[in-house]
Amino acid sequence: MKSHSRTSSRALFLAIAYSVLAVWTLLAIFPFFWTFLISIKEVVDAFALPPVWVFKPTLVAYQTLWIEEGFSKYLINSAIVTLGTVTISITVGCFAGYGLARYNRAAGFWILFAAFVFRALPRLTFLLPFYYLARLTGLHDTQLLLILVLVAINQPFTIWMLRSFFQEIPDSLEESAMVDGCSRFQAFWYVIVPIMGPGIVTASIFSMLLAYNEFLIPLILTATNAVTMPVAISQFGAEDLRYWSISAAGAISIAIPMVIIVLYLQKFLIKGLTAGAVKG
Amino acid sequence: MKPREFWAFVSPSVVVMTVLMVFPLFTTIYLSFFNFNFGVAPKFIGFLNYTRILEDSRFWSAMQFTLFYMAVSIPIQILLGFGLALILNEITALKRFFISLYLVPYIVTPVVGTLAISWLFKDRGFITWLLSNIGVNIQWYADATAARGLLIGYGIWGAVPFIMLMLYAGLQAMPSDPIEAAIMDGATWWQRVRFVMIPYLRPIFIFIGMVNIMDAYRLFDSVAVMTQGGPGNATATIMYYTYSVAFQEQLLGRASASIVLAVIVIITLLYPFLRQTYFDIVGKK
Repeated sequence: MKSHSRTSSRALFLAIAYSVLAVWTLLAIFPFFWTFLISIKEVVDAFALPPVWVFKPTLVAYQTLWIEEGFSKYLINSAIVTLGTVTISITVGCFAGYGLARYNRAAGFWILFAAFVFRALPRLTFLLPFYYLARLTGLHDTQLLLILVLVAINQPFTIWMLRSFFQEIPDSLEESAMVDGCSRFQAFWYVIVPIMGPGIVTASIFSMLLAYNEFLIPLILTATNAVTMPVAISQFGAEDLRYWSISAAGAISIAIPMVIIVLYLQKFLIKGLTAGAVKG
Repeated sequence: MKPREFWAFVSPSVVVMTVLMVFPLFTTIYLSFFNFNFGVAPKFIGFLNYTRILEDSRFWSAMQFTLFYMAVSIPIQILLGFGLALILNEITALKRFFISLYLVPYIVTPVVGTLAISWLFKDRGFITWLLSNIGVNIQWYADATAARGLLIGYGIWGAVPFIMLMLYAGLQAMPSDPIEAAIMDGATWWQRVRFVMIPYLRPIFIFIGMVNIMDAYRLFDSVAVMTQGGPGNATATIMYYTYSVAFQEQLLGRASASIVLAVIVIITLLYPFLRQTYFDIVGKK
């Protein structure tokens, strides 16, 4: 009798649990689904009330976006800036993360603590001087400047995360390599980095999301040449209905590559989400 | 590791952070004492920029809205995220499916998420229309309270996936012995959550609280895209206000003073966390 009541309360719990999860699924996905519908509707249907549910899909908005509006230029900028940022910040961050994981004196602690404080500061703290100096030196509106600034903004988070991954690898590995005659750098490069693969992928995903999604930095540091996709899409005509469809097409175009890449690599993302907190 | 080796490994990162963060930080502080705009020679004016900012009612209303935004959204998003994490921890079927879907708002570019939500709430948007059918007529972008609510709602929507995943991973990593012992002792589900899980997850809650304070305080993207600080000045955050001073009014010196004040406020808010981090790292050495 007792076990029967336990089973039925479990069934009730599961019913409630799955209802809650279903509601949150709807909340999480519906805005994107709706945006997708706007992007494949004719402009007259896109904002018709009551909403038009049965319609003939059209790719006109995508065509306008990619051909007339030249959206591929922004895609190329976003791709260059993202790749550049990930490559540099992970390379620099690996060296630092390894050094910080293996060195137990005050200097290491102060670098970590300073990085942590910098992580807390708003981006505008650094951006105002960059804006002014970049305008003076002609670096304004270049992909190089965006990469440099994004690498810097990303560095505190990257070194903390990579340090925690390097700490999981026992010192004995590189010590035995060094006994066999490797230099510290060789031991790092040939023994430690190869087994850091998953950690490097994880840190790269976060670095990639940061660079690809960033809005404020390119908004301030670009004008026409180096504009990235999030800034471009935010500047499509605001109240002109025709532009809403194009913006929606842009929104979907920006979202799709990242969603595919990150969902494919999601086990690395989840590993990274826990790394920082569990180990402090 | 020898000090010489240590410095060789960390120097690229230290150089990057010094040149691109420490130097600009001090430049910003320095410039905050100058009347400093494009095409004009900088002129030292002492604390005048600070006086001007502190006299500006827009600064105070922006600071007020930013703190209000944090006070409302952070507790709600942590509660929702924890609730969802507890549910995910209990179920088995379809777990990975839900986790993948919940990741989407976290992955998608904030500007895209903001646009997606903002279309639903336009005057001709789907949600506005749904609500009007049940007699609730709200002009989301014309009413100060509604616009604030919309930004807070968007913030919660965007932050829950991160919190949920962190806590879910924490629950998964939790050893099963204390839970089993609690069940043996006849603890109800709620007692297990309250007296076993929450204490175990405490470091993760602290970490989440800290990251959420940092992120909520620098709220800019959704304001710039969704409301442009309006109606009036109702949804301008401290970052949006500073941005307007710098790039619409072109007063770079005054904007620097505003950001210095903003940094003082965030460091004060984060002081307990910074102290904790300081002792954590020292304690480990």
